[in-house]
This record gives sequence, C-alpha cells and structure tokens, in this order.
Amino acid sequence: MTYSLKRLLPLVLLLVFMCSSCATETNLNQDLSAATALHNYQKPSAAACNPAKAQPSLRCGQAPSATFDNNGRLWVVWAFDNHVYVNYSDDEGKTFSAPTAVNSSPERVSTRGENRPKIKLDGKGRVHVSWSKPLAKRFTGDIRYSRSDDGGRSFIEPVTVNDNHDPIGHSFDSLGVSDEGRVYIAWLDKRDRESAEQGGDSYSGSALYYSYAEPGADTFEANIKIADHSCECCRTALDIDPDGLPVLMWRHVYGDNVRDHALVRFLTPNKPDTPVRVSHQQWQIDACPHHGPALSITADARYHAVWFNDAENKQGLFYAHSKDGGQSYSPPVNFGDYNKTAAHPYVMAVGNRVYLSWKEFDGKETQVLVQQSNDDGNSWALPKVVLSTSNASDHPLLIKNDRQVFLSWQTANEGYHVIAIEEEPIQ
Amino acid sequence: MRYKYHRSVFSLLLLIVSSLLSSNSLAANSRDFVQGSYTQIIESHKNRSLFVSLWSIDCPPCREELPEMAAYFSSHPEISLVLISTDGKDLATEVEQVLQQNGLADAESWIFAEDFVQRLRYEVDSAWHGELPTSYFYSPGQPRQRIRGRVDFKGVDD
Repeated sequence: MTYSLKRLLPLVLLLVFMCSSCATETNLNQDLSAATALHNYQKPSAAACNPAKAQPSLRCGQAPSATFDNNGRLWVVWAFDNHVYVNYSDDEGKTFSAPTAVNSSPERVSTRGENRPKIKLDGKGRVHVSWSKPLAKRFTGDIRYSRSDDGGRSFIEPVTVNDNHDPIGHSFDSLGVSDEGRVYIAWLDKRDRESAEQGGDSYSGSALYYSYAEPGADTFEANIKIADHSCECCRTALDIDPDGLPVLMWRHVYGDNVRDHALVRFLTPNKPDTPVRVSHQQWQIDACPHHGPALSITADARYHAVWFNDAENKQGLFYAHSKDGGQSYSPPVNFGDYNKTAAHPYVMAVGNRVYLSWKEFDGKETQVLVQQSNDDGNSWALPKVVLSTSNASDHPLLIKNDRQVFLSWQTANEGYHVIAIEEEPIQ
Repeated sequence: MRYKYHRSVFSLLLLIVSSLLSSNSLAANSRDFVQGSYTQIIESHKNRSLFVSLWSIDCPPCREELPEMAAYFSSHPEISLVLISTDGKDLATEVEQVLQQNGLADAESWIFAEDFVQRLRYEVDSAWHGELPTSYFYSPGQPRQRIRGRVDFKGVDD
C-alpha cells in the first residue's frame, strides 16, 4: 500500500497554512503529547535507571537503533548495564515485547560518540546485531556480532569479527544484511597505524576494514582492508545494493588532513571495487569531527548520501546522489540551518521519495527536522519539524517499512519515539 | 629557636602531605562545567590573555596536543589556560589521569557535568558543531579567535 499524496494533500495544506515552517507550538505539542500518551513516558530519575536497581528497559536503554522486518515488525536494539538488548513492537512502536539479552556474559558496549549497537533482519527473519566493545585501555576495542535464529527469543554467543586480536582500536562498526542472510560488517581499524608507528612511521587516521559471514554462519571470513587513512572518530555507513552487496561510505583523510567522504561498492562479497571520492569540499582539520555520513540505496540502485562538513564556504549538512553506482555524484546541496548547529544528518530513500533528517538547536530547544523530495532528490519540500525536546537527546535516525518512513529518536525527557513521517508537498 | 625549627619542619611536612593528597585525589580537581560556567570562566580571566581548550579523552588529536600545550603554557605564564573536557563526570578520574600524565595536573580544568551537552556547547559557541579539539583565544580588547583542530604550539613562537 502506498500513501497517496492526493489523499494527504488537504492535511498537508492545512499544516502549511497554520505555519509556513510547520514549527508551531501546537503541532509540536500535539506530536509530543501523542507520543507521551502512547508510550506513557515519564522522565525517569537517575536512580530509576541505576543499573544496580533498575531492570533493563527501553526507557533506560542507551543509544537505541531500530529496523522493520519484512512482516512490519519493528525491532529495537539498545544497551544497558554491559548488555545488548533486543525487543520488538507489532504496532509500530506503541508497545514493545519484553527485552531479550543478546550477550549472556556482561561486556562493555560502546554508546559514546557515534558508536551504537546496530540491528538488521534478513528475509528469513534472522535477527542480526553488531556493536563495538571497548577494552580496558582507551582507544581499544573489538567488533562483536550475534544472531537470533528463533525470532529474538535467544541469541548465539557473540563472536569477534576483527581477526586481529591485539588490544588496539577496532570500532565504529556498521552492519548490513542481504535478504538471503549474508552479513556484512565494516569498521575502523588501527592495525596498520600500529604497525606503521612501531616501524617509526607516521600514519594518519585509521583504516577501513570489512568482513562478511555466509547466511547462517557463525564465523566471519578473513578481514579485508578497504582503505588506509579513514577518519578515526566518525561513524561508517553501510547499505545494501539491489544485488545484495554492501556499499560503504566513510569520512576519509585525504593528503594533509583533508576530511572528505569516500564510498566503495563491491563486485562480489570479497571483492571491493575501487573507492571513489564523494565530496571535494576540502575540509582540512586535524580534529575529530565526531560526524559520520549516512547512505540509502533504492531498488533502482540510486545512492543517496548525506554528511557534515565545515570547510570554508562549504559549511553544514550536504546531500548528493549517484545514478551510476556511486561513480559520480550530483552537486552537493546544502540543507539545515548552520547557525542552529544543524547536525547528525540521516537519509532514507524509498522509490523516488527521499527523506533527510537532522538535529538543530536554538539555545533552548532541540528540534528534529525532516525534508522530503518526491523526485529522486532533485527538488525538495520545505523542512518540517517532526519533534522537539528541551533536554538531552540522541542522534535522530530514519527507518522504513514497506509503506512509510519513520523517525527513530530517543530523548531524555520523553523517551524513545518512532514517529511516522507524513508526506509533504514539493515546492 | 628550637621551637621555631620544629614549627618550620612541621610546616614543610604539612606541605608535602597536602601536595601528596592533592595529587592523589584526582577526581576532585576538575570543576563541574554546567549552564553558565563558560561566562564565569571568561569573566574570571578578563583583562588577561586567555586560551580555552575544549577536548576529550576519546579524541586522538586532543591527546597529541596536550603535552605540547603543557610545554607552551609553562613558558607563557602571561596567558591563562583553561581546559574543558567534554567527557562527562563519569569519566572524571580518567580525565584527571590524562591531564596529570601530560603535565597539566595544575591547569584550570573543567568537565562537562550536564547530560544536555548541546546546550553546554552552544553556550561556548553557537557555531561550534562539536569537533575536537576546538580552542578560543581571548586577548583584552580584541574579538575572540576560534582555532579549529589541533594547535601547532611548537610553531606558535616561530
């Protein structure tokens, strides 16, 4: 079932009439009160979420990420007290099942910066989860993976994906799963930097590494290096192309600390193509941007990419698309209000509809905005505020089922939201 | 005379004990950076040159910058140095350890102490998107300078 623009137009026009930017208090309060009523959320006190006393719950969970399976069931993964938990919802996030612990033995789970547990399902309903596990020493960690073959009732003992087991940096994992169940994981890896430094050489950034597991397999293939000199503190992005192969995007370090973005597609599961530079914005900075890209690929193989850059005269959030399998890109389009620290962009494309989400802050309130294109990212509706909060909040993410795109967002005051994005008319 | 001698030995011992205590009580050195703290910092150093560094223990370029920063400011006492860690209070002990390892145990140090970090960042600079390290240099009568990324302290005096 697809949403007809014609059917929604009267509602959209009414909203536009109420406020050209759709950011009225009324709308926001309605959204929030609806969410509050549905979830019966109250801000928990610090003591209420103290691991010593609290039971694991999504309300107290850290860095929740979500996905829909092919049957429309919403799955959420989150961390709490050295465990990764999964639960699901059959009513698009109104109510949730009791959580299942993924790792039976406690281990640290990274939820700092842009690190967070990930979840994907394949066409057979297997639940795949990955996360970064920090080790005792700072900047060290392992990439972890687990799977449920029984609809989330139990999970296999987590395995370490990186085949270098030195106590060095392996973090910022991204996860993708083909419909048949092949699992692809990419991450930032310090093994080459370590060996360069041991040999007395300098090495900028990290390296991007990758591995995959065949459907149903508990072990991953030998690790493959995709590229030397990735940025070392930004999330990596991974989506699956129509051939069921992964496409990776990451912030790269070009030359002397120029932090532009790169992308690689795969010819087979173990054969990456040559990486391609996505942006040429020349942001030169010896710093951690803590700001990675996002990528969404449609069934007709269009790549839609978003990122943050802060180069001179090229500041803020950017969108571009590729119609030729990532080999060339449309000129980057700037979106969001840089002066309201527009940050943490996400993108989700369905057919010719493309949705962008991001966060803005005006000194008092954080807003999540969404902007929509109905023509493959060539023209855009005005940005629309979907939710706002006056306290701490996570990065906003977009997810989709077979009908619609949803915002997945956790806020300290209101809890975890899954909100359907309404269609907007294009200007 | 004898009494005076004892008293000075006692004072010296007290000084040694208190300095040992202060170096051991790591978590107590950094002050809580909350809403309003940034204005307070700038106000307390007005009429002086001031260098404010925002950093994190998770940020490799920040960690590389710290020893160079320590060396530079020990030879430039005319400039005030303030370090603000964005790590959060749960990591205060590690923040203190890193500062101490890099010769910055005595530097004025603050640590983000509110969950609403977006608001804290905005108070520092509404145009700062969170990249680290980020620094600000204040010179009396001059607009502040924002310095993005690792500062080349070795090259500053050249």
